[in-house]
Amino acid sequence: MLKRFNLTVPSELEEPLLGLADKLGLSAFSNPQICDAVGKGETDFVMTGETIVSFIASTVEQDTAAIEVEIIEWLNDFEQLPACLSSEEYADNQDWMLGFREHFKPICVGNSIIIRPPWAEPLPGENEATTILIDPGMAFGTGTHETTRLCLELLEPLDLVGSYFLDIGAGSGILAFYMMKRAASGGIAIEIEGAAVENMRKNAALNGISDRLHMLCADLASFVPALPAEGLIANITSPVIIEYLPLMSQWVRQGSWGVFSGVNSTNAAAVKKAFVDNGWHLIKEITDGDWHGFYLDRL
Amino acid sequence: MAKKLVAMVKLQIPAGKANPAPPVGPALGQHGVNIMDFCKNFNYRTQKEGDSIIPVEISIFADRSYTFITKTPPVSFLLKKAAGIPKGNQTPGRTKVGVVTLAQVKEIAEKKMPDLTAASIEAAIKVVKGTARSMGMEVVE
Repeated sequence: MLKRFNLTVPSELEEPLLGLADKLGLSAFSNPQICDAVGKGETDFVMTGETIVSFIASTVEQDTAAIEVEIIEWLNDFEQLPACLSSEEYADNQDWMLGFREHFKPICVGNSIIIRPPWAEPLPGENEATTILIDPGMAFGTGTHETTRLCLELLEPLDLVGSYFLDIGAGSGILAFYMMKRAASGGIAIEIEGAAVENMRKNAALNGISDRLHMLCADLASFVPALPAEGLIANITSPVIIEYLPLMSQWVRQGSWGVFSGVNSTNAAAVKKAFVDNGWHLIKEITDGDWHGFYLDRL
Repeated sequence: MAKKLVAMVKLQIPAGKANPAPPVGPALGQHGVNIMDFCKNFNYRTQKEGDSIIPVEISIFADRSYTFITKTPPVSFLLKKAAGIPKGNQTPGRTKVGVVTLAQVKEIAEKKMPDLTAASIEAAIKVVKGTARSMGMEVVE
């Protein structure tokens, strides 16, 4: 068996505890605790000042009772209460990938869209044209987040055949892949993070999409499309939408459509005002929990 | 995209040698991170770092995607190097296994300052002293 000791301590005691783990010959990791910064937008958080430090010991190869005594003495030395210590046990042959895979099962979105990890079996009656394969990694857009689903639900009823589009903040590329599966003529998926673009390229290959989709690692400020697009997708945060909407609005033709998400209730009114200010007409707004998705026409 | 952070995990892994065994497996599996993908990316990024132990901070987002940054060597590693010992005392007990000077402690605190939560150099020195104490090392003037 493996025994895991969890110690909840003030964050300044994290390094000393890692020193104790070193002394005891234990592997360790830590989870600095975070919470939402209320009213600060979609991505802001604050550190709570506490960290959970976990030690992993083998009940066969190590004397876990003696280790526990050492930990309790350490807590006493550093004036921490014994109550901050808890423990749990794992089987030696634990498949750690199971925890990860439990988070990623095929997801149905809208009427016909399926997002499936490559290791999962196809669902009965699955249509390849509306199935997107995503191997989750260092890129947002695994299909489990509300904003990704809102964008897909807004795209689903549209006639996308032959359209040329831009996907801004493309992450895993999931939305761009859906466009290509729906017979879009081509498009550009722009993402600022290089690791995410690598992940996008791998997922594009999984989906058999590489030739007509241009996957670009770029900053929006320096991006200039060669052609005006007929559709714009942006699942990004409200401040980025508001800042770049004047620029993004120049990248599409009059009469083009736009699908936007990544906006929470706190910022929805400000984003809608930015749409009006930049010549967009709101046709449809849908929500999922605190998240909003918008379908608009460019006037 | 709306990358809402849901958890942070900090690990210390030998350069180029991440694998799904503990501590990586339990640390990341509980948060639904693609462990193999992380291992591949970490190993690729640190393959030229020799035998160093690399502290890594992983940010996990609401849809279980992640990013990571690598940091400077851990305080325990720097203390052992300063004391000229290959390892801390791995026998539970109170034997002092090494000695570091206050000047070395200060130097380590300055080096680690960007990675520590300490608000001042004095607080960082306190963290380094506390780590030395936890490892069974003595700090002398």
